[in-house]
Amino acid sequence: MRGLLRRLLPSPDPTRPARPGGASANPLLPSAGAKIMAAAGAAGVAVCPLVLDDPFWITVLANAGTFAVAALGLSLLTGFCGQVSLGHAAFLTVGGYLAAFFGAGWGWPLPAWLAAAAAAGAVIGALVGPFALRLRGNYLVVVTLALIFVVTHVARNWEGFTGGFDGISTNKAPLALGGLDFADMSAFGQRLSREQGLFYLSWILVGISALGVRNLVRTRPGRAMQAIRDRDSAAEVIGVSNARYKIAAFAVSAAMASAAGAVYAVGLRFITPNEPLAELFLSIRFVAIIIVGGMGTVYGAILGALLLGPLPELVKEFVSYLDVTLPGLGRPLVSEVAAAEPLFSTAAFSELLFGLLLVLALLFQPQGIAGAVRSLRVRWAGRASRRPGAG
Amino acid sequence: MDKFLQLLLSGVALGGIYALVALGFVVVYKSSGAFNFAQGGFVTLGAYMVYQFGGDWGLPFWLGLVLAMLAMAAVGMFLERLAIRPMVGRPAFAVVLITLGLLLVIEQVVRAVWTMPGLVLSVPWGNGRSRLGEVTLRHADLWSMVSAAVLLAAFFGFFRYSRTGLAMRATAADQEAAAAQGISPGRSFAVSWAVAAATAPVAGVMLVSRGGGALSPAVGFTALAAFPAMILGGLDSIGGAVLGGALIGVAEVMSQGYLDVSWLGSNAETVVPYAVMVAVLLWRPEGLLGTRRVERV
Amino acid sequence: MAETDAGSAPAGIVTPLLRSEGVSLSFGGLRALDDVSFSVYPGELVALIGPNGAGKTSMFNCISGVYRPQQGAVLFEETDLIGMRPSRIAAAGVARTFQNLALFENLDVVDNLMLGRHTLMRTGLLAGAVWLGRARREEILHRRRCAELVDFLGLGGYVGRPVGLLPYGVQKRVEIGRALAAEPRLLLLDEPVAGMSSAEADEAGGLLSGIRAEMGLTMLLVEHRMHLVLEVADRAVAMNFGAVIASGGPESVSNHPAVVEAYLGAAGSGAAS
Repeated sequence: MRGLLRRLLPSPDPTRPARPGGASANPLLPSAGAKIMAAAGAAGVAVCPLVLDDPFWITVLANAGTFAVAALGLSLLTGFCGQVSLGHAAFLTVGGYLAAFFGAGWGWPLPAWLAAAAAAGAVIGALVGPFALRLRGNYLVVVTLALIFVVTHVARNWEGFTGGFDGISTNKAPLALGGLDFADMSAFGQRLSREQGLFYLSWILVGISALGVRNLVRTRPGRAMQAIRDRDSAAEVIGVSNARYKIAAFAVSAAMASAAGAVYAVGLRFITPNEPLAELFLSIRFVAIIIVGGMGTVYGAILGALLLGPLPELVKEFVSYLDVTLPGLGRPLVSEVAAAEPLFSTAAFSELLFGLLLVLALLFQPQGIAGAVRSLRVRWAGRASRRPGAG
Repeated sequence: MDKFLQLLLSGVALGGIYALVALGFVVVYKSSGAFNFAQGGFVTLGAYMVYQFGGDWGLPFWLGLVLAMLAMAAVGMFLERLAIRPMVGRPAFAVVLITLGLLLVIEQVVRAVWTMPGLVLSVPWGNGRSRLGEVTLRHADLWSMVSAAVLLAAFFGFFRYSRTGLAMRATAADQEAAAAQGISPGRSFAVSWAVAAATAPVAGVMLVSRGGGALSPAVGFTALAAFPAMILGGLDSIGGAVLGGALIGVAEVMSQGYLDVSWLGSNAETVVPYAVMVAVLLWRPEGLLGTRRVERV
Repeated sequence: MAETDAGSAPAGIVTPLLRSEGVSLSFGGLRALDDVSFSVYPGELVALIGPNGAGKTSMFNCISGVYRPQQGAVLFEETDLIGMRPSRIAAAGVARTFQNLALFENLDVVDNLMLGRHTLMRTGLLAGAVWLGRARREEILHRRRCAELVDFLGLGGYVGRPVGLLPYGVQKRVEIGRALAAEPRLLLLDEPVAGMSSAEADEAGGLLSGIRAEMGLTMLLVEHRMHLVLEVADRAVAMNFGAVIASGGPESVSNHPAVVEAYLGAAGSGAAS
């Protein structure tokens, strides 16, 4: 856990001043410090499931990884391109069913079912694009809400593909990449469990997506998206086609969510259709993740997923601390025992926490954790530069 | 033909409820430009409050409804003060996101306060129905239409003629200019949130009564179908909310009655509002009665 | 209209780079532009003058594709721009600045300038995400060009901070820089010195002359301050109530009775000079 956290903190600040006058000061090349931290983080990820000898927590962290991939997608769309989406959960669902159909059903290899999920997500995501062009801000949110209804409806009713209400198994989806089988890995002469393998798979995907998004937002296409976020009409006038880049942002973000959903569903071994309401709440959860983590940064999305993604499991794990009988009410605050008539079930309590965290973050720390880290760094840098001058 | 008339009647009644919910959204949108997802939560909370005052405490139904409206107005003002006012000057999407957070919180609070499953909200008209020639008129539908008509007319008058209504429109058009005229934008926001929240118990009661009286936290979710209604009509137009509500309501009920195509699957009508909205938006991005924006750079 | 436009070309046979032909635009019942015709020849700096509300910015919006006039044609090297998406027009070689700043506030100076070069670059989604080979070379090459521009505009001290936090005058310069970065063949400047003190305005006037001397750019300039127009423009086109009322040498246009009357009629609002 510590290693993972450390890995995420030191990514160079995109607003860091470049030395004026020269491409040699290209901020695109990572500093030595960032390289060291990235290496330390990778080592942390590599060691974590070996040291952490608890399948439950390994699964929780693996799921946090898949959440991070999806959150990176939403961060690209909302944080960098300025488009709000409530349909993000729908793309995870799409990816899950594609993994079941092509992976478990047809036995496609890992790269193939993962690519199929991402491609389907990209296509459906791109369908939102035309609306993104014609509608501004608020209207679009409701169109993305429509995605939830359509996808849950299809998931329940297209029985040949999704298994209808009964759901469908994803268990047989192959997890081998060439000679490396994530379902049956071994390290240091020790056979690893499927959970440990899935942890590696999902965090490798986090690494790839983080690198990809980071490169993207620092080069031409990502700059174009940020221009649209800051001022879409001016962006169009200087030559940035709003059509192309809004559609691209939706497609890429949906592809990442679908790929994440595919791995998540395979981890769960089974997928059943969600209620639309649950799907909406899941989408809001991703919004909370990127806001709390810090919009417009890559590591913020990962940090948010790592902290908020496992929230339901954390609440369940530490429910004993919350299972306190409230004076005057005679009911416990949170309990898993329904007969105790708790105010909140563990699931409801984590939902409440997501809502509260989202509201509080927007009110008091709109830049999220990444913003807090940035202002701390600025303060430290200011102090460091003042010190020699003061002497 | 009878079936058609029957469905039309039911659809218009449902449309009235959607228009009522949409009204709540539109009032807030008109005064502050914010898109209030918490309105769905207000509808749930409002319905449960009516149950609390009427069903649980045994007050007369109408008194309970009025109390619930007053209580919701207070809740609306409180939340506006707490979470929306500090967001003035921040990007519109941040306000939208904060209302989503409020929606989550309200939903869970309702579940926490009214834990008991199977609560039933009884209304004076019960399950009554009358025959009108070949058509059956459910009293719940009648009340939906009447209450929608009365409240919508009241709002129309309020916005058009009252000082506060004018002030709210002025604030929506140009916050700075309105402030320069001595109109407090803060007061406009507070009033709009209070008013929007106060309509919620009525919409909630109508939705619950239409469904037979069973209370569930999912009421607010049904109310989300008012979004397509509002978008369809044009976000800034109360007349549009009525038109959009009626269209969506009729489309939903008609598809329930006629759309018996097996490949569409069961409950296809839940998707219909969104399908209609998507089709209309591709054709008229500003909605049916919304104002087209002239872009300035 | 014909007589105001005639005989004002610097060289008789050269085809104009930009030609507005009978452009009319209305919003609802309001006529914003009424049969506007004028030309800009290669290498010229033409000033578009007139009181507030004369339709100058509306004309700019028609050229850059933000508005779509109901009648007329805007020919850029004989290609009609009307109906093209703004981004296509930018790619064709028309760059502009805005009356009220329209920078990308959360991005820094270099990113804003790089966005000016958007249409000159090729890197797509996949290449950008992979960030190898050509994409990397392209990025470095274009950053070098932007660094030159930063030096030219004297923005070296402001690199690395979000432009939204920079002083107003600096933001104005960044915006001109973003338009220059596109290496346009026609530059539209919408009140580049609006809101500046007269010292700053003089400095900006020097910058415009510098840009012409350095880059030989064809420019169309909307400007209120007559002395700046007299100083830098080769020709002027005066507008009032959406129509062209005079055109020719800046001196003669500024003394044209219709122009004098237009400025006085508008309570002298913009005529300060």
